[in-house]
Amino acid sequence: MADIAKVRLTIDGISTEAEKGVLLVEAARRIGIKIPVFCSHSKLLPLGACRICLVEIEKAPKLVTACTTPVGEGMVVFTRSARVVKARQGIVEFLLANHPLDCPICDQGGECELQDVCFEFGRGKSRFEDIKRNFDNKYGRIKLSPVLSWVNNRCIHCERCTRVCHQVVGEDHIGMLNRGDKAMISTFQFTQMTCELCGNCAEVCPTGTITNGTVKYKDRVWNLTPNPSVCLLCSSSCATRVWTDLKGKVTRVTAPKDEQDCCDFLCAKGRFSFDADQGEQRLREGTKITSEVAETFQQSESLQPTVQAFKALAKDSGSTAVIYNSRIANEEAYLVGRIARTVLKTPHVVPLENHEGLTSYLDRFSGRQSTSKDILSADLILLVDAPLARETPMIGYFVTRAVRQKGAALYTVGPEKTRHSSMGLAHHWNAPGASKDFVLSLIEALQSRKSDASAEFNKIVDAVQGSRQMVIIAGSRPLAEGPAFIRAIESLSSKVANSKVLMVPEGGNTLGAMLMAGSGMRVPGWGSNVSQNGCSVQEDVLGAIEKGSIKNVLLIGEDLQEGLINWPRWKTAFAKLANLVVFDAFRSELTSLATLAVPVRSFHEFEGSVLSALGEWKIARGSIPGAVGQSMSRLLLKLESELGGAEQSFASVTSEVKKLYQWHVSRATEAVEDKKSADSAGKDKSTGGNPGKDGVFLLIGNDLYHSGAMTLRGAHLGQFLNRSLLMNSADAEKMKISNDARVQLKIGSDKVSVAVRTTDDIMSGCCFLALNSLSPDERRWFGGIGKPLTAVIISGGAA
Amino acid sequence: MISEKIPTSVDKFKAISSDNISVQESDDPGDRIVTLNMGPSHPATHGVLRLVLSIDGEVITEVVPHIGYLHTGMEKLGEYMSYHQFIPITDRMDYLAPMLMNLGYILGVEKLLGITDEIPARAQWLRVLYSELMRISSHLIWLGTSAIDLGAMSPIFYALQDREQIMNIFEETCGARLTSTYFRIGGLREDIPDTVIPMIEKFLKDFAIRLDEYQNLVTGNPILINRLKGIGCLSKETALSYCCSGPVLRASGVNYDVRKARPYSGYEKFKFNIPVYQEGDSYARFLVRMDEMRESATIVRQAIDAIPAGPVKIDRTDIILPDKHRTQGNMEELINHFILSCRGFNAPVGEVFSTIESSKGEFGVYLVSTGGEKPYRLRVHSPSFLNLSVLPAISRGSLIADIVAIIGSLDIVLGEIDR
Repeated sequence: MADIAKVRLTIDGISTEAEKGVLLVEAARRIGIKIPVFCSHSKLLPLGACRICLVEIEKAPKLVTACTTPVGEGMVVFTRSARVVKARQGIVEFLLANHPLDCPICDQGGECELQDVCFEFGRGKSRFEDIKRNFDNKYGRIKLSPVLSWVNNRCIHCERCTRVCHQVVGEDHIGMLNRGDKAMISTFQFTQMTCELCGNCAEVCPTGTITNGTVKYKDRVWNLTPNPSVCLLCSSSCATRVWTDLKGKVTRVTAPKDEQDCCDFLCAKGRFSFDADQGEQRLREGTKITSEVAETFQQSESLQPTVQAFKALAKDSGSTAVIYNSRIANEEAYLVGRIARTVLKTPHVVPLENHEGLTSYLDRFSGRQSTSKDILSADLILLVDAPLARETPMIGYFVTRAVRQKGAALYTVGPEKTRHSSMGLAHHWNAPGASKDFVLSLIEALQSRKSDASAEFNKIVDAVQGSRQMVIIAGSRPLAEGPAFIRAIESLSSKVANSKVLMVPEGGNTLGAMLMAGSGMRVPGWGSNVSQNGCSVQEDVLGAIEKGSIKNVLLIGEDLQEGLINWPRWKTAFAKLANLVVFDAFRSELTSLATLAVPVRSFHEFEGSVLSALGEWKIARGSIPGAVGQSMSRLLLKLESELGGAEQSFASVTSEVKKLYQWHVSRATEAVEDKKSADSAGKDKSTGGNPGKDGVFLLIGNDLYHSGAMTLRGAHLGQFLNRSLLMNSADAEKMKISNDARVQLKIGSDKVSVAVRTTDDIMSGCCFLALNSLSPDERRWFGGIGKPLTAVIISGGAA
Repeated sequence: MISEKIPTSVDKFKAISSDNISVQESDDPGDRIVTLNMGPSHPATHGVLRLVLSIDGEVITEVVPHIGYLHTGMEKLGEYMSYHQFIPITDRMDYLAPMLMNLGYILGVEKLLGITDEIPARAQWLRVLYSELMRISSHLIWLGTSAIDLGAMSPIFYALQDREQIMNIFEETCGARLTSTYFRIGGLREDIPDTVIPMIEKFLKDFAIRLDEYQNLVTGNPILINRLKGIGCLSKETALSYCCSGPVLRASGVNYDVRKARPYSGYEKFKFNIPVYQEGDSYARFLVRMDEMRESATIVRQAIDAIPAGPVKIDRTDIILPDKHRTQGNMEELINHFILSCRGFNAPVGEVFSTIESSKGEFGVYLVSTGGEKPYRLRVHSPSFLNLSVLPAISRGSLIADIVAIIGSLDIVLGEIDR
């Protein structure tokens, strides 16, 4: 990194230095001088609209806004001079002139930036005698969003929300209408807002204009305690603040503020699923079912029944399988892996989410994948079948910022046109399952162009050749193509200077859980764990249970039943088992079938560290008062020591886990030198195919607002669920299917009835269906995230 | 100490028992000590004070006061409340002189904020006026209860009736008879109504007559003199080493009154004397307080005659609450009211120790602020606590009846001791 020149300046008599380009507001903040801001935000481009940050610079004729002025050599800045104080008082007075007296009923009271700034910097005595402007006419009352509360009267026109919508969320949903004192923020023609980063405008709004409508009037901020935690719904793994009220109940979730390395933003999933893990659906008492009796126990008493159950599992080690899902912390996955191998001595340690390419990605790219800084400083971003908006919105947030704030070029490839495609320069249609082919043809074209390539493809090749710093992001479908795709992308990356790779899997702590539990990965001290006879995916376990070679299963994680593919088949298989031990946070048929069900903490309550897709290590404190019992890690540690393992403290587990990650990172770095695997990329066979006559590729994914079924458990996001089949308009016309018609989807021998929505955003020959719009029974044909299925559409199908 | 052998219970028992009973009597004086529990629920302990007396017959050999029965964690509460929110808590400390408690705390906060010199003159004058009325009220109740502890039944009725007049004055001013919360950080809660001055004038007129009556009825009373003279002698050195203050200290010959030593709230503008007596016994403490009532009446007289005009609140919108009617139509006032009520003002970093002369002695606070809306530490300097600590020293060797007199003369309030 080249040294950025430093500049010396004086603020309020304190001599300081800052890098060239740093704004005055930031330079003052670093030495502890607080300059009030409204329109300025550390993650948004500077605007200078509100004028509250005016400061006096010696020899400058007028006061300047500190949020738009970069530091200059020899600047002498005064933030408390008489002129500045008077200017601030004036600005405050103007802002409050039209502001309604809503403080007693405004949710933002107590955490309102307007209140705080006006109290500290205002005159304290009002001189306003006239009538305040009022938007409470028919336009002001239109409900713009089912989850956000809008009160236009309170707006101070800082335009943070519109800039967030444009620069950070990328939706361009809201803007300023009218002029002067009639200016108001609204959507175009008052349409409903449907952003997957819903709620960020509320997060940045300094007043109570836009607030979280789901917690309206529920509580005041001084009754709430923020608990640092990490969201486990997708692999963005955003740091969150989970706010609990005086009774310990989770009331709302917000993003952490004022922390340099954290996003100040969350997506709709993380924000509005705060109530998903409350109420009757939680498993709060353990159950133990023996042949005679079913008894319940509290989590605090769960140790002894669990010890007995594990001893039974350990006796039969060859026929015991351990399945975990991605909604567990690194420490928990590590302990599961360790117990499975050292105590239960089983070769079957299987993640619920099947990502065949994930092990080779982790082997080769741990620690050297693209980070958020790489995305923000890239000048070319290539999204290869990565519907970021749907799967991992907050990684999409970095892409949006790179494009909208830094001017990066964006190209998208794949069978779906995502929201990012609309801000990209071109979209290249590519069949599902053929991402590897695309990458290989790109590598070829870099050396010699083919004449039959499409215009978009050529644009992409040109861009790649001319890029200074490139980031390639691929989603869960390319990952499902297996190690071949990883080899292809590694080959591409090695041929393009200064390029970084990022794979974005589905699920929560997918990367961390796989690394720490060691499925398919080598773990020092545990030898090679991809044993010859071990199952590696959940279908193998299912087959083995049906054959009878596996008689005991330990399922550990959160919301497990949803992750089991083809639940009816599993259900019949489970009936054959001798022991079914389930650690879960939610009640389901699975937990009622289990011979031992142990309640564990949910995704808001857990304690531990999480590895995000961008390689960030984030820590959840697990300090929620209402949490069910102790954290899983501590329970597993106690279990281990009861079963003969050494006693270990939680703190030492966290450091072991950290060291294990460093070990993987160092191995991946060594792999860079190993050129052999990169060269073998071209030899893998093509996996892209033909859907067959009358058939289409059926793409399965999670709906815009949802992460599996977890978010459906809450009350708020369910109203956003899209249950339609998205179909290409040209295909629909050919098959004479109109918009909103009902069709039958024939997948294998199963049939599903769905309504159709025609769109141009999906490739001809493909259609998209949201997984969580179907019940577990309806989706028994589902083979795993990322695997395209072929389906036949039968029009005119009744239910 | 005792000169003759006081008949023990054993002797008396022998005198009345029949011949068959043989009673062992030991000569060891230690065996004669009986432990007697006095309190905490006792009419003569002036609150919930528990005294464990070791008595040899009627003579006290040891007194161990046990306190804490009225502890409500006020100092700890102070760490969780804004500075303004804590004022009603101070009312409950010395509940017989709440306005003085308010003043002691508020002067500390004002010193921390650095606004002591900006308090308007009218506010300071009225603070003095009400402090002295409060002192009279506190001494009146002391007079009544001490007298009734000693057996004189009549004075309490007269004393409480005078106190009623003062209570009525308080009610007229701020709505509360006892727990006033009238003084606020930056001045007073609101200006006095016009009806109050005639009430105070009337009270002063009546009180002048009453003071003379108390002088004759009580001070010249031979029974009282016998009960109090020579009882609970506190030497000057002992008083100073135990850190006593107020009338207890001044009765032992130390001329120390905070109003003269470190004048606050404009006391330097008033002419008054400090009564000091040399004997240090209960009677001296009695006389000090009687004289103090007279001096306080003088101060009230001077105060009434020359109340300055002007505002009663400092003009700092970031410290004091705005007028309520303004918050219902004006944005800045509403915001200020919201922030001040829900959070409080931001105090500068610092620590102060500030005391006043309360009716019991030197009362004050030690405030430590690390910035923010709540104090880091709020330590209350309580005169009754220190005055009570001197009790064992001055009551060894007296009779049980004398303990009652001594406690009365110390004039302690358990609310202030226990907090």
